[in-house]
Amino acid sequence: MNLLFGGLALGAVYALLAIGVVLIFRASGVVNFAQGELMMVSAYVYVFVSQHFSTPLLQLGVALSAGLLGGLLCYCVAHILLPTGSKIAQVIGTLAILILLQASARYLFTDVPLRAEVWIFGDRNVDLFGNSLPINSIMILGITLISTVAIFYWQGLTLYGRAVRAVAEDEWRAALCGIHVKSTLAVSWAVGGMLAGLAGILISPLIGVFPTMGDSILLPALIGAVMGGFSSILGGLIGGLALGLIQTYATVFFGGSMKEVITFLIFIAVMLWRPTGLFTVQRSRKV
Amino acid sequence: MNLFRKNSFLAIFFLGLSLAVIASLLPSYKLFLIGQLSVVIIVTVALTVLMGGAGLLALSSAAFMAVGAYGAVICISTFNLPLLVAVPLVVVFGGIFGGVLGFITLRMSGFYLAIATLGLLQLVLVGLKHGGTLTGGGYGLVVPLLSIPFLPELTVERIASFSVLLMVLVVDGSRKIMRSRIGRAWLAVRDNEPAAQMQGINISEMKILAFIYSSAVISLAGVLHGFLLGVTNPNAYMVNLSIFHITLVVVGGMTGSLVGAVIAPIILYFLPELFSALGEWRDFFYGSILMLSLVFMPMGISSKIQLLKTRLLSRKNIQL
Repeated sequence: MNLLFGGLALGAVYALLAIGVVLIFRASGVVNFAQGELMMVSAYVYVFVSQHFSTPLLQLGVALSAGLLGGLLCYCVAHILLPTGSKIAQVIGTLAILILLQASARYLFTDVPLRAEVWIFGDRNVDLFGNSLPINSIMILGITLISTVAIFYWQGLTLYGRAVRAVAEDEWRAALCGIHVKSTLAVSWAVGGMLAGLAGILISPLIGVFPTMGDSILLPALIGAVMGGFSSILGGLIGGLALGLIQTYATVFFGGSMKEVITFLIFIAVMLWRPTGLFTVQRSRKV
Repeated sequence: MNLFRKNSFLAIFFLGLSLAVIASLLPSYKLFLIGQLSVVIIVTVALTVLMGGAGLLALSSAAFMAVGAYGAVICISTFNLPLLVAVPLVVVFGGIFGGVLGFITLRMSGFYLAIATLGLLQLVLVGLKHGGTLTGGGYGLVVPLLSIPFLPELTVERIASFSVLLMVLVVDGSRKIMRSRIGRAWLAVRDNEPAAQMQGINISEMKILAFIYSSAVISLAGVLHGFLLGVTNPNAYMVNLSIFHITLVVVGGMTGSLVGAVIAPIILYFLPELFSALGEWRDFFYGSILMLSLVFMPMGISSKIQLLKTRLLSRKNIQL
């Protein structure tokens, strides 16, 4: 039971990052490789804010704003600085952000991991179904589910979400309909960055805060997004959660080094079996 | 002298040989740097063929370098294979490895390859760190005493000059491939997939071929890299190394032209190393260069050179 919730909590963090990646990809067609580094930056911000202020809402707000600013930074690089015609240049641009943020963090804080306090609840346990569970993992799961529902509502049911999807489908025609393309794109990147910031707050007590923390989280998150076919938010959520569970159980049963192997094998299997994602209807490829 | 006409293999071979001999006259540290530079040039050229030629973004160059370096050492010291058997074996293995990865991922759009190669890199690193005595864990392996027939003791200096020769051969080979039917097919696939398909080009085959070629060549560079350093360490092959290679490719130009792929490592790798100017600012330097190059020089150095060349030529015409 402990294991189950630990795995789900890890998976929830993967899912948050995956949903951010999917949101950005749906809006702009760019895979944001700097997502893990946005998470790292927010985690650092969270640690330093929580050393000085104990108001949970303030901690959350500052860390989320850090993620939001990071997302906007990525947007500026990928859409304003770089020519939007070439997707490969935009993706490489996010790689440049990755390396710059990582190098800055290493320069400022060295490689020594910092310890982060658990947000709001601390290291308390709670009794659930006769088991004593860390309240933190339940909170992570809850927050992830709530934010997924919120994003689902925002993307699917509000006018604004529809505008985002219209831009994703055809920028030019969306602009003709009176949609401000640039701000719509910017909002998608900013929300993606905020999700990464949320992931940073939630994961930092579990693994500590260090400059390369994004490296190990980004890959499972991307694979989670692949499992969702890179287009569905629900797919990203389920893919991330599944991957967290699988990794946790793989570590317990086969040892720590098998975690990456199994993750990669799952990715290969998904690529071979359902390359458009596990939860999407098979469509013909766009030309 | 039919053998020595322009671009013939022998002419290139002797060019490489003379460069190698000239390089071997340098003092030991400079020669070592030249050897490293050759390795970096080989990787950049191979990656330029992949990214610029075929338009595929791959983050796995560090992984294939690790495969080459570790593979060669393991083949020689664990399986007791002679050097001249081990190196081709490792190169072929790297190529097959890359081909399989390409086969799995290339049925989908391009960025899946970037993710898959990132995954492969993580996988290889984990394998190296937990490989027990085979890979030496976190400490890595020490390269044994190397020898080939007629040369009982292969010193670092000899390997460095040999890398120069191999570098010339790889650059020339890649140039020839880019000009051949296959290279033109790669460019066509990069520019417009449906149009290339209409011309009767098998797209997946061409992409996998590009991946096989570059993986094999990068494995070769990895072999040389390991031999030059004398040790192989898993921490040398992290994602930073791949991004460093991508930086060089972007600066050199992703147009499929290989001039930039040779010049960019000389400017961005050899000169800073020669004056040992970077230190802990290495990642900053390459990250900023990557960003600046993407913004101000999206076609890379080679296009600037092309521009300069046409300008100079036109000026000459006016004078006439």
